[in-house]
Amino acid sequence: MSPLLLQQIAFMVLAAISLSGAWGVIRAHSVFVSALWLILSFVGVAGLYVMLEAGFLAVIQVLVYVGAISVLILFAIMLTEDVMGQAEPASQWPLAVLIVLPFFGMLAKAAFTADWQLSAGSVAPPEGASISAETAKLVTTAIPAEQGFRLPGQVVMLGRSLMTEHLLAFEVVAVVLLVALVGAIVIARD
Amino acid sequence: MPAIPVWWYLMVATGLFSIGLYATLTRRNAVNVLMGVELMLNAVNLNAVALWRYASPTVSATVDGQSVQLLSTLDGQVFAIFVIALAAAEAAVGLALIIAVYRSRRTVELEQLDMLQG
Repeated sequence: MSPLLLQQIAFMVLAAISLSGAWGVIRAHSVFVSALWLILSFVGVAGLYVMLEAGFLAVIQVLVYVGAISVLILFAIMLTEDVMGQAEPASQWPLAVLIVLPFFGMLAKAAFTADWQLSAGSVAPPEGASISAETAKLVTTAIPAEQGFRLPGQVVMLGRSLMTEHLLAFEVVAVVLLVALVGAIVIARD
Repeated sequence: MPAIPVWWYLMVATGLFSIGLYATLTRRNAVNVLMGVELMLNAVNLNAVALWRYASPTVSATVDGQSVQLLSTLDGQVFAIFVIALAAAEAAVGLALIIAVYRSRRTVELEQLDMLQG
């Protein structure tokens, strides 16, 4: 089998995992089972990140979503109700279908038909967007373009990007996380 | 020509977002609504990373005598990291609120939380 076909098969499997996980969330008959399906969906999305050569993001996805948020949700379910209790039938579902289906159709048509200005080797380097030889060395060690670039270099680039051009947003998110942490503790205790 | 066209990723993201929207609209349980929101955030992240990978400008560089094409920015990934961080904050505060509401009302059914109704 050609590597091309293998990639496509891998994509199909990961897409099926994430979409069936999401489907399970809305079809499961208890809240607890819904949460377990949600974890499956998160894992599938992490795999898709790997396919997109965003390995660091895949690790973050597993740590934060699969590790932290899922556990938080499971704890919330166990603290609030009868864990295996029957989920109530979904209310107002015809109306929701009426909203969601046209929405899906619109987005799908946009995704399929829009001209995305893909940069697959055809775009000239933007003016002044040169990178230093040192950075280039970090990013890739003689890996041809079509094979993408290496993970360790990408993480270094990501760290630099966070601490330079996105520094303000980074600090603001840090403050938001701190406030959310304190706020959650204050709200959740009596 | 890359092995996987970008619209495949966009379609998966669209599906995830629609299912998340459906969960948010129909569920009565507050925890389930929060799960729908998480699904939608995941779809947005997937979109950002896919378009970063396929549509951000490239730069030619010469490394060890070989000409390579590099993506000139990591903005899509940075965006996704910020979204994940904010999603974590939102989940923590949201679930704390749900627990607090459960303490005082003994329910997390959204339809029974009508204290503000006149």
